[in-house]
Amino acid sequence: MKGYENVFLVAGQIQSTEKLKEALKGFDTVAFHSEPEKGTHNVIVFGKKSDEEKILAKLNETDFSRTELKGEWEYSDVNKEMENIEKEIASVEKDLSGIKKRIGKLEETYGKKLGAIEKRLIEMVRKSEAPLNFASSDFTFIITGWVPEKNTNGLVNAVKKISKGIYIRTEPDSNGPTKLNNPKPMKPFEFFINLYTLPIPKEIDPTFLLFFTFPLFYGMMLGDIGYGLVIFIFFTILRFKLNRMKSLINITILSAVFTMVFGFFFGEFFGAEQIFGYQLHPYLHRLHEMNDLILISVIFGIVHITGGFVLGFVNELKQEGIKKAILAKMSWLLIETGGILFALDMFKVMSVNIAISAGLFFLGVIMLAFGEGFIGIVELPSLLSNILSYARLAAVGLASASLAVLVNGMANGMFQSGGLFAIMGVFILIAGHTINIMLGMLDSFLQSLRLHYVEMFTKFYHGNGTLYKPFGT
Amino acid sequence: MANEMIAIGAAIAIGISALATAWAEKEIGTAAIGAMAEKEGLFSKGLILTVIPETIIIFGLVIALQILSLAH
Repeated sequence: MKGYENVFLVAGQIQSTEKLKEALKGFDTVAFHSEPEKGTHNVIVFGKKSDEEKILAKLNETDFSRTELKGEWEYSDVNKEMENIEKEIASVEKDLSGIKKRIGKLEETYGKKLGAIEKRLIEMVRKSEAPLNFASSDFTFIITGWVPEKNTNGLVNAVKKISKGIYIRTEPDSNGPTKLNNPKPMKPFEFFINLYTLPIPKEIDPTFLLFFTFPLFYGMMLGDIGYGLVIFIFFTILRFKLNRMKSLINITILSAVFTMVFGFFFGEFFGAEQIFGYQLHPYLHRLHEMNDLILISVIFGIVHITGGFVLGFVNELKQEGIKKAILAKMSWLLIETGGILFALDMFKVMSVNIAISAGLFFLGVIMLAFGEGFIGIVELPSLLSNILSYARLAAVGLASASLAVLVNGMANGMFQSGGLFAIMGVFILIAGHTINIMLGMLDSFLQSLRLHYVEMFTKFYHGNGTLYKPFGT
Repeated sequence: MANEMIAIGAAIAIGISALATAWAEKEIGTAAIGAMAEKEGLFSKGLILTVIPETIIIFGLVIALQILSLAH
């Protein structure tokens, strides 16, 4: 933009418009500035040609930085230029979306293949790098590592075939890494073990326990045919759509089945006692027979924790021998039995001579003092609180069931008002039950997991194993 | 005993234990989030640790229900 006879212009950026005004004070100028972008304003100043040098000098004293305007624009029409630029932007955007489509197509065709290739290449690199870690002299080298017990013979045979000059020795190592080995239906539950801590090889792997009782507790807490059905359908669809989190999804599907079973038991369908007019007959009504439900929960707890002590007994037997097992774990079982007999007598379920229950209890305490010392005695009250903690099986369910009934009640009120309120009622039903399902899923999941981690695993499980990583993976 | 007093007693039992749970979970929750900021993988462990004090309110609920069963 040059070639005016009396007017000059200068363009650039400046940080503060106040300084700009100050610099231009006293001159006959017109200045425009834009809104600040990243702290600087774009500025254009028109002035008299005779003042040009003075104005530039003043501007140089500020943080003004000059931009040269390119091109000879003097004869073109601004609107036309704008139109041209907009056309250009549109065509570039069109190109961009075309390119994105092509990338998507490429990903579809080659994505999986490339992923597999990358995995394979990494595996090859690791395998070829491994010899660097082996101890070697000029003529020999030595390799040490672990292999799952059942694969030992296969490895020995395979290595011996390579050359006669190889000496190979195997010995069992109880401090080696752990490879979990469970039947296929239980596999998903290994997820929880990985999350907590891996067992060491000579310890019982509690995955099978989670398989049996996790969905049971989950179902007992959520316990609603409708909710179970929704979760079951949703996660079955997710199972086919999603490639990740397979184990979590499988666990949830199994838990949803148990939720439906308990739904029949409690006679609940979305909080109501009927399925589309068909009356359900609860064996146990969660809202009215709460005390019975708590009692059942606590019985579940006693069974669960007793199971924990029995496993603990087996663990100690394998690791420390019979004496330690009896003193440290059998003692807890005696204490528990004594306590239960005392409670049965107190609540007049059956009469037990106090001498028997107290005798068992104190015999257990003495054994415990020898087995686990002072710490064991301090832990005594935790037995009671752990067992009572299973009351959450009833309590979480009560909260979920009450909320469902509340939602139904609100919606029912709306339906009776009729008209527009009925639509509101449908909305309340959908939103209310969706929230309740989500809350129920999260809570049942966490509480069930926690019952295993905190209440049960502490009775027998130590863990701290390391993961077995096969060569090159 | 008057039913009103029984209801108030049950409310106190569950109310105070709820506060206790909230207090405990607040402490654990903030610590867990702090740990998570350092290492993302601690989320699941933090979540499990955070729900541990829920036992307190469950005891409160059991006691509240026991108190309520005194009502006539």
